[in-house]
Amino acid sequence: MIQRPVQILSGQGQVVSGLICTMQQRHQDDFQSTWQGILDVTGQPDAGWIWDYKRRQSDQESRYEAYALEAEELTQGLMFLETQWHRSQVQPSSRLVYIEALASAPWNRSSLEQPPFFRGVGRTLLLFARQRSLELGYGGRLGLHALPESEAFYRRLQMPDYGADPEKEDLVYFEYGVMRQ
Amino acid sequence: MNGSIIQILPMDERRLAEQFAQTGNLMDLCANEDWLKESAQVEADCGGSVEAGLVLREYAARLGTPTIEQLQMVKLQSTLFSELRAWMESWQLGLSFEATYTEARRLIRYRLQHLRAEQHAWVKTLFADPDRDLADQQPVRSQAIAMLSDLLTQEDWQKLANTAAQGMAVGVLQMRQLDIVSAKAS
Repeated sequence: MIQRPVQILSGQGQVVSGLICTMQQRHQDDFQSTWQGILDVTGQPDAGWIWDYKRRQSDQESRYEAYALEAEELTQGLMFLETQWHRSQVQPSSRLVYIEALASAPWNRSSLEQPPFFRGVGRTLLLFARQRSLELGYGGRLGLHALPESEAFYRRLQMPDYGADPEKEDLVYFEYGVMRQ
Repeated sequence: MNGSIIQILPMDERRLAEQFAQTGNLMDLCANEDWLKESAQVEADCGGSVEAGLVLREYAARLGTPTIEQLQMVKLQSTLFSELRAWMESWQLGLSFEATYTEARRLIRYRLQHLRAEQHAWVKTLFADPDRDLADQQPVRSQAIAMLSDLLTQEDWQKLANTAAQGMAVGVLQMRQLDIVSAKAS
């Protein structure tokens, strides 16, 4: 069970203590009830299975890791990593940590709520994934496929962009390389 | 994929590498307020969307603008759960804390969806100031325990007691199993 204290900013700019921890049932409950409560189109298939399935995978197979970032007793972000099977698309001989899924709570998105309740959740999760890559001996290598509306975020964070990936419905693939001083 | 690097700005990488060399933990950057402000600015500049992973595509496409009532409910849950945790930690539940706390949150969520008229009025007065920060809910916090007691029914309390007992039993059996495994290993 991993637990790492972190800090993020509240909507008003106050520093708030948070925690990145191994995903628990209550984080899944938060997604199922509170996050999904803020969906524009109702009557569509429930997306709760995603994290339920991911959490079970992480319980059963060591290559999967599921994490939640919590602050003020609610789940502010979720992330699911694969840590053994993915290879760098730049240097295929090198393993990397692959972010299968990363999301911030709807009330933290400035496009949906001004000011957002918390700021910096996405970058904190990304930093943690990078740290896991270092801890696993992958030198900081990290890959992900960004959703179209998030591409600007990853470009702004200087994550190298390798273009649309036809194997992932043309989502753009981003990959951090090995960290060098 | 085009296979070419479109953009590399090495400064951020250098900062991460320096941090890792200094403390061995990139997460220490979160203790730096400038880093936090920069993170906030990056998200603000990019509209706040950070979602990654094909599996989330459909979910993200369905996200709508939260209503005031939905946001108030998020704040209320956050406040009540914070007080609930502090309260329950004083019960010394040990191994069964997580299961009991999780069940309590579920029960409270359910009761919040079925508020009585006087409870509804109480909630309304708490959020007279819609601009109040999520982290600044002191007036709400001071009344939270009373609210929690009022929300949960006798049946709910019985459920929590059963969950706590069951959680403890499971924990003890897991400990026994662990002891057997370690004895065999040695």
